Amino acid sequence: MTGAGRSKSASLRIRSRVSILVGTVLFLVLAGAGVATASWTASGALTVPATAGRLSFTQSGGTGLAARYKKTNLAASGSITVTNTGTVPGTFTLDVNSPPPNLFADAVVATGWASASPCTSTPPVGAAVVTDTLTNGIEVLGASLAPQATEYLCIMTVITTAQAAGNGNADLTLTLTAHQGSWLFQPLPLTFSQSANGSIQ
Amino acid sequence: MTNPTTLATLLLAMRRTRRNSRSRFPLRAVLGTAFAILAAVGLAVITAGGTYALSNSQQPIAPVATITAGSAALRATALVVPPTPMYPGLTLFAPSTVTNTGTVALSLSGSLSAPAAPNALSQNLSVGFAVAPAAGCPASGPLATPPAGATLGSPDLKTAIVIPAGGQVSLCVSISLLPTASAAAQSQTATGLTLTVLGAQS
Repeated sequence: MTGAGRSKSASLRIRSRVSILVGTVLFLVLAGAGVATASWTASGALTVPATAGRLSFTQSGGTGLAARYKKTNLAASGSITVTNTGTVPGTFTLDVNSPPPNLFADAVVATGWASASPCTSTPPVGAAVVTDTLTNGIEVLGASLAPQATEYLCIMTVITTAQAAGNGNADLTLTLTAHQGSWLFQPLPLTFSQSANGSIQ
Repeated sequence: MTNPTTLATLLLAMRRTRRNSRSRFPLRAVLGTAFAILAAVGLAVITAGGTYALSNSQQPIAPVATITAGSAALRATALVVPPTPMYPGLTLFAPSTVTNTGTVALSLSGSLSAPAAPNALSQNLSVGFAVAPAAGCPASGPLATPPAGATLGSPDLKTAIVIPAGGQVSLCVSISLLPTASAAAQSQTATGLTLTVLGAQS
């Protein structure tokens, strides 16, 4: 064997031993360095009972809103009784309008407010009163009602003298919507017909 | 009597084998490798840390010496939830006293598991717990420190509540119907919904 060959062979041997050394160290370090951990646990189970309520409202009354206007009778009014018949509290709104719009509905102005007591001809002090034509409609805001509680919504309509002298008619639709968070409830709307016939004084 | 030819052949074979063995595993290489492995073990012991001991002495243990393992155990009183029907956004509270009957301090966490027949109500409930205020748990409404809640399938609740060994803590368990609960949850009852209060050695 030549000198160069012996040197190469020695170099290979050294490299081989270094490899063995490094490999063994790595193996032993990785295999032995892990730390075993353990902890004690205990648990207690609790049954969680829950029952959901039901959102439900009713509306009734308002029959005075069915009107035939004449020159001597330019106004109509009605009291809507709203009751929370569900088992959870809820707020509500009442929309009063007359779709589709027509000249008669343009000539009728609706006014509404909420009241804790039965309706009178004028709104109580501090009541939130809303007014607009039937074509545009009004939205009356009710209070938050506890289950079985009742509130009254007072609605008045007034027609202009000129329109009362002419002919026309419209249907008032009263749509109640109750809310409780993401829950909504709408009972069947109330509908009242209004008309004018100038030939009738 | 051994055949001289056979003996000669055997000697020749042994010499050849020794020569081959010497050329494949020279003594220096074997010693070098052994040294390398020894050095590796030494290095590994130093680098890996920890303690190493080899017990090689014996001593009879006196009969009075007793080693007792610790224990972890929890006891929680059942929930009495107010009978108020739930609606979106409502939170009800029910008290529960959790007692650490073990011998190690435990830190509390919780998880919610589904009933056998989940419904629109159980899927929209959030359940959590917090340490009860001095005045006790309110029936409903927010707490000064609102508890984190878990819904079905959500990660476990982590809390900072630690009960020392032998100690107890009064909890307010909160049950909330999510504000986004669907109307399908109305009038439903969630049965079999379970809150597991887990105590881990702290």
